[in-house]
Amino acid sequence: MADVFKIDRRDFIGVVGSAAGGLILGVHLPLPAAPIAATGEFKPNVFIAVEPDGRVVMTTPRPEMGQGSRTGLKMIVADELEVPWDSIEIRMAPAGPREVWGSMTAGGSTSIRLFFGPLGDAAAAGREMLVAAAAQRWGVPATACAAQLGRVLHEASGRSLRYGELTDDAARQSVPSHPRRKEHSQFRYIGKERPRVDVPEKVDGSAIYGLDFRRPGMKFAVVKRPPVIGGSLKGWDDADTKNVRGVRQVVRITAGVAVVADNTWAALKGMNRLKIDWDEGPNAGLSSAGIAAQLERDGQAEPLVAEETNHARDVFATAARKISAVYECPFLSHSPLEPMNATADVKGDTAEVWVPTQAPQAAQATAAQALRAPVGNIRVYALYSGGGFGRRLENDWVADAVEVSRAIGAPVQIMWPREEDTTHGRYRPISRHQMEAAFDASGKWLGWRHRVIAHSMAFASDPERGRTQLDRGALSGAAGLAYKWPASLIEWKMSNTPLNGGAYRSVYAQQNCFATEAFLDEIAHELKRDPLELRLELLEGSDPRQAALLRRVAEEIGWGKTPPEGHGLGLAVTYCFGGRAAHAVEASVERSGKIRVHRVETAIDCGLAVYPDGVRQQTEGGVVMALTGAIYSQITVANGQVQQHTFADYPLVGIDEAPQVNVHIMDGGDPIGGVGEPPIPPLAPALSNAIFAATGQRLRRMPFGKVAL
Amino acid sequence: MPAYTITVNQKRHTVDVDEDTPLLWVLRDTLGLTGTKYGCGVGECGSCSVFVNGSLVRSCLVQIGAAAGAVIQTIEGLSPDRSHPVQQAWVAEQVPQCGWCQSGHILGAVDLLKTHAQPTDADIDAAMSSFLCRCGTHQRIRRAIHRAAGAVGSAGEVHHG
Repeated sequence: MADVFKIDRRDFIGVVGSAAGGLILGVHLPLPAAPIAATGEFKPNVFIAVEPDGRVVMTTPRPEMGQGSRTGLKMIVADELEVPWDSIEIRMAPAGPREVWGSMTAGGSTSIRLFFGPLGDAAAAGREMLVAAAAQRWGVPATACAAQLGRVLHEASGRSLRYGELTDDAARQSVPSHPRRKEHSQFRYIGKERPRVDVPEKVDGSAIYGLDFRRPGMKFAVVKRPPVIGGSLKGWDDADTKNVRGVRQVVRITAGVAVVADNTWAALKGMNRLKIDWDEGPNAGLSSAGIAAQLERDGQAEPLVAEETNHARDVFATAARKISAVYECPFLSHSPLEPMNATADVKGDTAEVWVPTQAPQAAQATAAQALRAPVGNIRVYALYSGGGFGRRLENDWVADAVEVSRAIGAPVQIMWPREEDTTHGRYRPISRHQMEAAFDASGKWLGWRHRVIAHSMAFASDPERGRTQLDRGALSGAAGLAYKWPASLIEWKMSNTPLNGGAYRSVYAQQNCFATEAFLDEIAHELKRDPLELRLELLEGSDPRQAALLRRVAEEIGWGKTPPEGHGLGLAVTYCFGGRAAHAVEASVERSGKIRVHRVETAIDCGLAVYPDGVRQQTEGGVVMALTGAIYSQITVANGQVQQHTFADYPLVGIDEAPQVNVHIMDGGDPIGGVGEPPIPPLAPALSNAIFAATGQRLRRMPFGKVAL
Repeated sequence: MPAYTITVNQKRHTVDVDEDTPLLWVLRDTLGLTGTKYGCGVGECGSCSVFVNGSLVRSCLVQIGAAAGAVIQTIEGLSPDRSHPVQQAWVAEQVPQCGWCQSGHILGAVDLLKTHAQPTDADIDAAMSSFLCRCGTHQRIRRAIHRAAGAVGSAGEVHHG
């Protein structure tokens, strides 16, 4: 996932059809996964259809998991096509080939920033074609006509035509290669307040998520995977299971075992009564203590150098004085509230799959592999996800559903019970950060060093490469920062574990930002410098947009003023996934040691905020999710088994702990940046810095838990 | 064969399921009322909350055998047209993100407003802290409850703004 995508505007719009008298525009997004074919063949991936009745149907390849991008995409089309808000209907595209659809994956905070250009151009082209069709009919120049809310007007004569009356003629117009986009001042929807498209059905229970999908004759199944990581199924005794009313079958699947029943409860009950014999495999002795020791050991081994400026190694070799600190981040579970599930209906060598997923194409590939059938034999329909956060980029459960449906010859919905979800996650990788700063004899700061030791997702299946190559993704937030260090040495050491790593909202940027932004405060303290001033100095002439965010949140939190007794202020900033975010946190520690966050002032710069309330939602929510991660979340292992099971031992911040989050959107200019991920990384360091200011305690290990006073 | 009669959203149903079947699964799998959500199955998240004889319960913890004859209200029965003041407040404040937990939160708010017409922030904390939300919609939930309280206080009128 690159942070910034360069989008080529050539040849991505074309008329793909005029069915039933409608005007249908397609967009080809030249995404990394779908380069423009050298042949110039037009393969559209987002459809905008203007129907003869004036209705607009927009087919989107990107799933909605709560991130709100569907509303933003609608704003782009409604604005540039110039139609009434309510005239647009949005449909989710079934999974299709990358050459046609580009990447359908909702991840990397990409949906709005990738689609704003091409999707807006397609809508604007449609508008121009409709205007041209009207002008032609009236025999007047197109420049004398204007589009307004689904009509074309000819002001001089007072005539007007509805879009629906023009679709046939419009489809015969040539497609403008450079359609004129609106000026920002002309936006009707973009950047304005509009209700989310998915809210009404989410307040009355009518929204259909993956687990709500029903199919005639469908069975319900729950699955169980080996409790020990890397273990396998030997066999089972299902005598008690078969006695449960409604249980139909016990099925061996590649990943473990499934109990199939007439309803979910019977499946759950049947699974509880199943006596399973597991082969524990090679990891039965794995423990968190052992993993921590491994990371510590790897931290002493020779690393790979990712970045070195101003002869940093010499600087550190000759420095008069150095300070160092170790920062640690645990494995985290995404734990979206809708557990993992999928419904499959296998018929012969074909399958239909209904699944809450962030990655419909990956789901399709997983199903095809499970069925040993061509990808084209699989239809995947992405339903609403009850949260994703990166967990649903994987599609483990799709294979379960396909295998069970094939085995029983009927449609089946499989569900991972909450305990199964927690214990078999794709965990945010564990990491250790060895930080060092060098000073000369007079106390002048000379060098910055950050050694990242982490479980590598990129090289999990190819550790040999990981020994000689950098995992660039794992260095996000550590290397290539805007800070102008006096001298810098960024190092990487892979330390893989048997646990499955997964992309967790902001991926590695959060661990690296934690270490960077908190250790930077340690340096400020050492230098007796104001942490804000020091940051601004390091950003001088490098990234004024991050500096502006820091200034803004500092002003909002009352930086430099004395906070209430016992309270401390801390701040931190990030640039990741094309977006910038800064948080200023006011926090204190209760007598019990419990951390209390009173207020978070947050500023986000994603360039043009297409859907401002969506930006606020993502930022408010990101702060809370990151707070949960900072103070509570950790996945630990003993005897090869994940120790956390439900929300009792993997708690989430509640409403009584969630701080007031005030979001300040600051448009620092092009390009449009990501929104979903940037609010995550700066929270933990800003909180750590605030707790230091309040108590003098430096929190370097997540989760912070309770603070000993 | 056991059979239990329950009234859900003013409609009577007789269900033929085992006595220990949690009401949650009767609603979702037997009656097809999927607005009530499974999040944990052990009463920790609140996503499956429903009213049973006027009391808010976690339907994953209530066995059908204990709910025989009960009058049950789910999110689908709160209003026919999203017109309940709490639903309107939820829309006005644009609360849901993924939305999975929101049925429980909405019914939790309805329950709170029954006993606290004008809840304070402390009242909201006490009543709502056991409902989990992974997306972090908490401050909007708080605002929506205050908004709904205003609406309830003025004869069902919701103030837009």
